[in-house]
Amino acid sequence: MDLYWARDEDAIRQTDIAYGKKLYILANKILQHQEDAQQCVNDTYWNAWEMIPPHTPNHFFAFLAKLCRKQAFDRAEQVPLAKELDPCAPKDRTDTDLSRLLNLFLGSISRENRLIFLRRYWYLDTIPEIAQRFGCSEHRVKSCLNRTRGRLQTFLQKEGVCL
Amino acid sequence: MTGKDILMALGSIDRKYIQEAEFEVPEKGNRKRLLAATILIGIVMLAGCGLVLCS
Repeated sequence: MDLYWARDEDAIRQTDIAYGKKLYILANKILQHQEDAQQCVNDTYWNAWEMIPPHTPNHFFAFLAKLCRKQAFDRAEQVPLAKELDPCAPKDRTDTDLSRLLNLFLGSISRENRLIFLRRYWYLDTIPEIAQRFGCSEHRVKSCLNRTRGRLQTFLQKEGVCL
Repeated sequence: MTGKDILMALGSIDRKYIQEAEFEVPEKGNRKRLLAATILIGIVMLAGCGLVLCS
């Protein structure tokens, strides 16, 4: 972070060493295209360079991953994984409001369910990847995701969202 | 809205959740350990009661 504040271009290199691979994997999962994914990562570094200073992120990886993910989704024409969440999608709602509700929802579920849900829908991990990461069966991951999606639907309906 | 909108809206969630999902894994076997400890304590207590009754 000091390198960014000092406007030292080595900040980009150090960021790439520390997080480049993870960011690339994330972008490639969304875009399914290596060159586009790498371009996304490069744009992420550029955005971070522009934003820091004055911005000082507490969670630096999360800050970068958010930028990278946004870049990738803006470029992606279609994301097959999105179909799993179609039943939870509100008929009419603004993005800001939905993000607030999602934050509330994530705070209301157990830590384990939240981790699995976010590995699937934030990091776009496959079911086998999640099962391996958490040392459980694929069946358990699938049922956990299924239950959590159901809870999300119920939660949104209780909040007055029309699904 | 579609599922993609939800995926995109997830992009604006609190960074602590993103960080948590990246660097942490759930603690495994806590329930099993608790159950084993409870059973063990039960056995010890039964054995203790048995000894007291026999003496």
